[in-house]
Amino acid sequence: MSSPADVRIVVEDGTATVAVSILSRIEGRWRLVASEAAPAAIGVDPIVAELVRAVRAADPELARDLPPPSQAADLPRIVSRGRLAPGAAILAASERQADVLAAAARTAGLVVRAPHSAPDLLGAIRAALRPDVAVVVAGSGPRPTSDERGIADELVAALTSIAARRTDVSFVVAGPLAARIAAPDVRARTTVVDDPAGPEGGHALREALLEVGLPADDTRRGIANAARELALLLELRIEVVEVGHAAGMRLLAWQAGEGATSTDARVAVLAEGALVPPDPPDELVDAIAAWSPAVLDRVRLRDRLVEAYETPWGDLDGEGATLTVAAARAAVERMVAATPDISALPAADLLVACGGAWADAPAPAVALALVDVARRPGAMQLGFDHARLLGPLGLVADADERRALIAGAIDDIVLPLGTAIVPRGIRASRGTIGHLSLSVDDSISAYIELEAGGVHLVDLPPGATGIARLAVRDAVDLGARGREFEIPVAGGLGGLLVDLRDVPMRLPSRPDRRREALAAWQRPLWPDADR
Amino acid sequence: MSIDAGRPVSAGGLELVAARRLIVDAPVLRLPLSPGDRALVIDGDVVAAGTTLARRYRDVRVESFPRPEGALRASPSAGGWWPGTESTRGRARGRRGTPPGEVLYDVADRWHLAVGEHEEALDAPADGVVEEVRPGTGIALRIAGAGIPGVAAVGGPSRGRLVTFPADGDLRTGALDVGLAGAIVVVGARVDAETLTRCRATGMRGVVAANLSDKERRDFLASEARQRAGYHGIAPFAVLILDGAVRRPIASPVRALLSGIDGREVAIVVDPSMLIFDPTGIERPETAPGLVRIRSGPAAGREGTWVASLGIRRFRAGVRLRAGLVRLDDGSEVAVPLADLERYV
Repeated sequence: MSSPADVRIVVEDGTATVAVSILSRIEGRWRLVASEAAPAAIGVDPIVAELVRAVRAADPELARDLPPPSQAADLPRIVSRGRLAPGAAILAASERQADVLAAAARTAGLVVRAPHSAPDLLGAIRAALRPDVAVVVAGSGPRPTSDERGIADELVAALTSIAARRTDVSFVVAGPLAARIAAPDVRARTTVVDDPAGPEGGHALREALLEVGLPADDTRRGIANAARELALLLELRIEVVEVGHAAGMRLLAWQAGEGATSTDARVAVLAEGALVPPDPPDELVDAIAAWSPAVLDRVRLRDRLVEAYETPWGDLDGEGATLTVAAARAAVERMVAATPDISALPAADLLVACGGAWADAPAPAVALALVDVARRPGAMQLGFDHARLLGPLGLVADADERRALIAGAIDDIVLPLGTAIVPRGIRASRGTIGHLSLSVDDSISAYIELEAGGVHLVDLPPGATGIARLAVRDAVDLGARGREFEIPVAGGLGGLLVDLRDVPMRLPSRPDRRREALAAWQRPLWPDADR
Repeated sequence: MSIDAGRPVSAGGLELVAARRLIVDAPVLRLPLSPGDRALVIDGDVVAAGTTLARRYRDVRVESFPRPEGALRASPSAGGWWPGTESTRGRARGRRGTPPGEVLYDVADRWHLAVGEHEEALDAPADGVVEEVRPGTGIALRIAGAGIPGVAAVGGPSRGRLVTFPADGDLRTGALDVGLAGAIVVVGARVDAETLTRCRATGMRGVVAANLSDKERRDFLASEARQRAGYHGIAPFAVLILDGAVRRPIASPVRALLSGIDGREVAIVVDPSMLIFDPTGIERPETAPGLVRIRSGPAAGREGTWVASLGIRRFRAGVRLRAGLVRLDDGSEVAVPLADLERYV
C-alpha cells in the first residue's frame, strides 16, 4: 500500500446486509485486505472504520498509509446497490400473449402484478398504478388474430393513459402493437421487442426487461459484467448462482467472438430466487423443509422463514445456519427450474456462489449445497464470492480499471471451494462400483473405493491441482460416456467432491430417511453441528 | 482485536449493533386507492383525524359510453373524475345518463370509466397534511404526530383509545369484554386468530402484539376477507406486529412508551406499519446506556447491557460471527452474535 490512491473501499449495499471490503494495490497488484458483512441498518461508515482498525491492529506495516479509522470514510469507494424486486404490470391482447410476457418478466427480476389480458384492462391498469410497479410490459402476437386486432386500440389507449399518470414507469412493448403507439412521450419511454414468442424471442424480451429494470448501479448488473470478465480472464465457462434477500440470479458467461476476445452471457434474475420470498407459499416452505436435516413442523418453519425475511442477518448459528443453507438450496433449485434455457447450454467449468445467503456457512457446506441443486453430469470447479466483490467491481465504469481490479484480485474474489465430479447413470447397487485415485505432483495422494448413492470427500487444499482417475464397473456419463476417466482437478476448502448420487439426485421418499441421508452427507461439513 | 483468556480487549463496538428507532416523528402514511375510488382531498389540505379522505369502492367495473356532447365535450384527463349525467327524456330525442366514475381512457370517441359500487369511507387515521393525491394509486398524508414502528400490520387503518394489558403473556379470550369496545389494546407477547376475531366482535378497533405467528396471521386475514365479502361494510380493525413471528416479549423501551400513552387516542396504520400517537405532553422514555436486546436466536427477547466487543467468535455449527459480550438482567454475561442484537435509539 503506498497511498490512499491505491486503496478502494468496495461496498455491496444490499437490501438486508451490507458487505464492505478493502482492496489495496500491493506490489502493483490489487489484493483483498479485509472484508466484513453486517446488517444494512448499521450503515457503511462504522464498518469501514472497524475494518481499518482491524487492519491497523493486525498488520501495521500493511496499514501504514491507511488513514485513521475516523477518516476512513473518505477513501475512494466502489459501490453497488441492491433493491427490492420492482413490480411489472402486463397488458396483452390475449391470454397466451400475457403468459409469454409474464414468463419473461419473471426471469428479468420483476414481480408480476396479476397478468391481465383484454378485456380485463381494468385489472391491468390497477396493477400498473401500484407504486411498486416500475415496468409495464405490453404486447400482441406477431400475427395478431382478429380478436387481438380489435383490442389493439384499447391497449394503446390504456398504455397512453398509464403513461400520463405514471411518469416514472418504463414500457417494454412486444410485437406489432409497438407500431400503433403514436404519442411521442410514450414512444420515448418505450423499448420495442419484435417477437417475444419466437425461438430467441423470450430471451430477447428478458434482456430488454433486464436493461430497463436494473438501474445502472445495481449489484446484479455488476455481477453479470464481472462474470464476463472472469470468463475472459480464466478462459472458462462461468456459471453464477446468486441468492440474496430480495431476489436471486443465475447466469452463464462464456468466451465468444473471433479469437475468443469477447464474451456472451445468458442472464436471469428471479424474485422467486430470493432466500425467502415474502409471504412464502406452502410449497416453498415444504421445499425448504425437504433440504433441512432438522425436524421442523410447517408452522414453526414458516415462522422462522418469516423472521428470516424480516431479519435475514439474524439467527445464523446452530440450527439457524443449516436452515439458511437449506433455504439457499431451495432457492437455487427454484432458479434452475425457472431457467431451462440456461440449463440447455453447455455446462460451466466453474460454478460460483454469490450473495448474502451463503455468507456465514462453512465453505465446504456451500460446495455441497451447490452440487446438491445445480447438478450436471461432468466435472466442474466450485468457487465462492465470499466478500461479495463481483457486484461492485463489475460496475467500475472504466473497462481497463475494471479488468485490472478483477484480474489482480481474482484469487481473492473467487474463493476456491474445490472440484466436483458428478457422474450420471450410476446404478444403485451394494458394495463398491469402482475406485478413484488422485495424483498430485505425480504421486498418488488418495485412493478411495466408490459406493453408489454417497458423496466422497477427498482432501485437496486450495492452490493444489492434480489428476483424478475414475474407474467404474458400469459406464457412466461424465460429459461423455465411459468406464475410465482422467479428470484434471483443482483444490479448495471443500476439496474434491465425488458425488455418486446420480443426476437427477436420488433421495429417499420417506421424510425421516431423507433427513437422515441429508444429515449424513452434511455432518462432516459442519464442524460442531451437534453443539 | 483479540480475546485474552475469554475476556474482550475492545470496549467499543456498540455502533456495530443495528439501531432501531423507538419513535418516528411526523411520519408520512400511504393510503392506497384503486381506479374507481374518489379522492375528496387535494394536495396541501389540512385534515383532522376522522376526516373522510376518499370514497373507496369494493366492486369496480368498466363502463364505456360515447363522448358526451355539447358543453360536456371537454374530456377529463386520465384519472380525472367524471361526475356523471342524468338521463333526459325529450319528445324528439331522449338521452341516456352516464355514471360517475374515474376516467381510464378514451378510444374512438368512447370514454371508458372505472365505476364502483358498495362505497366505503377512507378516514384520516390522525391529524395531518395531505402531501400528495394520486388518483387510482393513493394518498400520502404527513401526520402531525409520531409513530412507533412495527414490522407489519394487517387490516386497518383503525383508530381508538389505547389500553395496555399489564402482563406480557398471551392474551386470552376470557380477558375480553365489551368494555374494551373502541379500544386498541396492547396484548403482550403473542395472540392467536381466534382471539383477534373475538376482539373484533367485541367492538375493539385493534391489537398491538409483539408477535403474530404466520399461521395466525393467515387465519385472521382469511376471516377478514370473508367478512369484507359481505354486503355490509365492517368497522375498521387492525393488528400491529412489533417484532415478528416467533415468541418474544415487547421490548422494555417500547413497553414504557406504550404505558406512557395509555388511554390516549392512537391509530394503527399499515404503510408504514406503525402505531400513531400525539406526542404532546408525553415524556420520551429514557433507555439505559448500553441497553441491547437479543432480537434473534435461542435467547430472543432477552435484554441486557453491552459490555464489550469480542471480535470474531466461533458459534454453534462452527459458524464464525462477530460477537459482543452482553450482561443479562440476571447478572450473567453471554457472548451474542452482533447480528442477533439490536438497540433502540
